[in-house]
Amino acid sequence: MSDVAIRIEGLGKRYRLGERAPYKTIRETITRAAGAPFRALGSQAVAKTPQKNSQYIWALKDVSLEVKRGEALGIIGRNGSGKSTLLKILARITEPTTGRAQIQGRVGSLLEVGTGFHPELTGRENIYLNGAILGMSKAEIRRRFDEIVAFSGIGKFLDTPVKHYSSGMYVRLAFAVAVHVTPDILLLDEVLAVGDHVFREKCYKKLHEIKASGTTVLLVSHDLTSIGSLCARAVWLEQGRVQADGSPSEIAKRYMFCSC
Amino acid sequence: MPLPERTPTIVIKPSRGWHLPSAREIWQYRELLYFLVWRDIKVRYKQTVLGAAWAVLQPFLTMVVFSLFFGRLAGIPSDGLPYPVFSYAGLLPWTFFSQAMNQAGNSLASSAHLITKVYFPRAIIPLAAVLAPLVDFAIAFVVLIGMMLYYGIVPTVAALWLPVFLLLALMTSLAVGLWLAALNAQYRDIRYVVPFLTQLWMFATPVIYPSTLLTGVWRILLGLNPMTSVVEGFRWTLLGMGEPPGRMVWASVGMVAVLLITGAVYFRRTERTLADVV
Repeated sequence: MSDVAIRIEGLGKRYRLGERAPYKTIRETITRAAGAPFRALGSQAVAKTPQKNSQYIWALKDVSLEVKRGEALGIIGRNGSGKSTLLKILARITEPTTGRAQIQGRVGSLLEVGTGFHPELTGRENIYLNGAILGMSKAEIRRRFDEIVAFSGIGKFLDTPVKHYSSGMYVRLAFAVAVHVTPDILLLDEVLAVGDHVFREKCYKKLHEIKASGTTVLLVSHDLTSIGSLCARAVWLEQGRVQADGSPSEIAKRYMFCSC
Repeated sequence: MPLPERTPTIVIKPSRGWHLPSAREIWQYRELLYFLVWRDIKVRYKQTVLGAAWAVLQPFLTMVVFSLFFGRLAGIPSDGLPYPVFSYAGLLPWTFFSQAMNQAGNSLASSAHLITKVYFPRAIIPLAAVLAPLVDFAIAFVVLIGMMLYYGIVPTVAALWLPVFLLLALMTSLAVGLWLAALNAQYRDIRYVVPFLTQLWMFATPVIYPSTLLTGVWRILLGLNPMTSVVEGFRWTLLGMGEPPGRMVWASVGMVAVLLITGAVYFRRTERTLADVV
């Protein structure tokens, strides 16, 4: 078996501008469909209108990368540089428009803390629900349950609905579940910037442990120091393309220089 | 999910064409399905005073109102059965169906926070939404048994067919739910269509009236509605009313099969851009 965990070839993602914002209405679709034959009959200039209206943007364009098994790769870039889009494609949340990616192993994605937490359910119930959503089996959750509770430090609030939790407790519990999912490949999106610094330290320690156990880690972040401490390699994305690929310190220097 | 012996290879690329959702993949995610159903059941009556009594109150109070207005005042026939038990036996599967269809229809839109953050086969979401109301159905069913005892109605062996009609109701709600969920993710108009659709659909189903009230073409049209078979089936299996359903059931099964397959394919098609539009 090869030692490549993720192979990305010419990956691209195109969005229609404004696609995420307003919802399509049926009326819009019907009028467009009904108007289609007339537009086809009309002059060239008229026929071009729909194209002019719908503008596209490539959030990700022709990205090729290889990540080795057990490697920790940091991805850095400005807002809108395509780093989150890349992670979403690798997590199979959204499909690419072009190119392909091949992943060897079980993928765990952590794009947000507390995905699927239900406010009415207790801490205990949410551990099971959130664990299942993040891809753990029931047996796995049961096995690691005590570890998760100990890590979160919520103690006697375990059987209280999480809507009564302080935001700190909520985040700690969510994080505790997340770091106990043990995939072969872990995709992380800037989720580390939460909690007080004591808990953050604890999370970093846990992440180092996860990495040391041989998990491949992809970390998207604005924070150059967090990438530097965890990753031996960094990729800099700019306008959906790979701008640079190298050691975190080297990338950091170029990135900082470019940003100002 | 059990860890496979060999590490799985996932290939990510733009998908083309029309496909059915992968049954094998849904099976792999069955534990997530279980937890989503469990969540819906747990959360449903949280912070209510009456709790699960609501599952009984809704069809029961509707039955009382129907018995008063349609049975007593309007004098709608009930094929020789006491009107209350006649209408309750119809309301029971109907309430389940309308709940399942409504919740499945809204399921994708209300799970946007999951869809944009985690991968799993999206069909799990409407599937969980149609399974959860089964608990309400079970609770409300106990009341029907009570009513049958009260009126001294003893079911025959035909009662063994009941699960078949319940399954038909489940499949109908899933089929329509898949269509509505996929449409609702893109067109929020659906949210306003569903209550209206539910209301019209109930009048097109012999819940209030017996199907024997209609003849000829109207009866055939009524048969195209799978819920007609379900409601008539419930009355036949439990109350011994009417004939064992024959051709009408096959028409309903065919109808549901078509709706289910097209719904599943359309759903799968929507799935690929779901996270971008929902």
